[in-house]
Amino acid sequence: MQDSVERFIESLSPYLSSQLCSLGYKGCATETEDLLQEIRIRVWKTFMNKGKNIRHPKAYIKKIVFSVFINEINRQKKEKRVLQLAEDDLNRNSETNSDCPLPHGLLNDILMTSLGMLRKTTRHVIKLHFEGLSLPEIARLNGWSYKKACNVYYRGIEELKGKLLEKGIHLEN
Amino acid sequence: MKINIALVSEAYLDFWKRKRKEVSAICPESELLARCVTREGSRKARKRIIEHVAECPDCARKIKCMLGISEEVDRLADDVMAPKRESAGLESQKKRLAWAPVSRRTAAAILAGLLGLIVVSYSVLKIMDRSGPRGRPNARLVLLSPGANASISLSDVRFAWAELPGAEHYVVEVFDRSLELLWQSGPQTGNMTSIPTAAGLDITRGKKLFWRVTAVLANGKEIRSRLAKFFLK
Repeated sequence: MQDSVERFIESLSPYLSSQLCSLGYKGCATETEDLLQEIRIRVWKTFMNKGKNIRHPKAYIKKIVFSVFINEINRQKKEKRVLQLAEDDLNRNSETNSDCPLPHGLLNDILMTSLGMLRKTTRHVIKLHFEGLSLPEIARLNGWSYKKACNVYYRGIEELKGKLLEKGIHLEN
Repeated sequence: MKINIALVSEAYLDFWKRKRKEVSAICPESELLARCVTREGSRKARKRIIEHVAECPDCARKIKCMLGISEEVDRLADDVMAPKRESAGLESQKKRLAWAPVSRRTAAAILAGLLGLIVVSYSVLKIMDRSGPRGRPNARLVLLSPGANASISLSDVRFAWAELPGAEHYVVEVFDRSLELLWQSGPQTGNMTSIPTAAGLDITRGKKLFWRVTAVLANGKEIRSRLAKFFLK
């Protein structure tokens, strides 16, 4: 058990580091190692204490990993709060680089109005996809099958195309 | 005006970036996002969180990371950690049991359907087999002579009918125009009979009469023919 837990944490560490980086938390190697050590200790403790009684080891490990991950996010969030506000001010004042022929404000209004006219479920799926979640992730989050998520999304895009077309915007594939 | 999905996505994210201050004020705790990923908590709560995530790029990024971690943990735990045989067996047994009620319900529904089908088929066959409702003449017992509306003399009256398979004996009845019974024969084994002169029927010429035959089967059932009309010369 000890070996397999060790192997598991070793395999998870690069992925965990990359996820932290994707959130903008560029911790140094030591900090990442600290995180992994914390996970290691908590997993060991759990399995030492409850070992034979754990029916769903995967769920347990997931909870531990999330807990450590979230604690790290919260800690770094507090440190970055000031920088974030400054960044917001900068973004508000600067022109956005875009190939869009429409003024951004106008396109935003048209887009949000068109989105608002879609059905609730369809609207949420499209919004989540725009936010960067993939269709499998959307399916998993909603407890749907991948096929359902695809159907809802593509139907929604077709509806959105129609709504945008009414306003004179042709949405290409 | 032509645009593509990438531009639309960018415009959407830009809209919410500008509104970040408003949106981030109501961002849920990271723990709640994690619970949403592991599908804990009430459905309503999860729905509210997903609605917020759809409008908050920060929370969307976090939840995306958590979804990725969750999937990676599942994958690694299967590959790397040797699953406990007992718990795996218990899990597969649970899965089987979880499916079992569904199969039992389906089996019960199928059985009920089959039973219903058997009952209906039996009833239909029974109805087809029935000789007919009581009192109604059965077309199978065919009257041959005298023919319908025949005009014959009393001495020439010969009642004849087609034999019915399974009939033990027959009974012939003669009625007057008001369907009052004038004469009834005794049990007849053959398919022919006539009215004996000793019957003393008060029959006048031109009188309209009706007759019918009743076949009595071995099981006691009676099958009656339709009423046939004839006239006495």
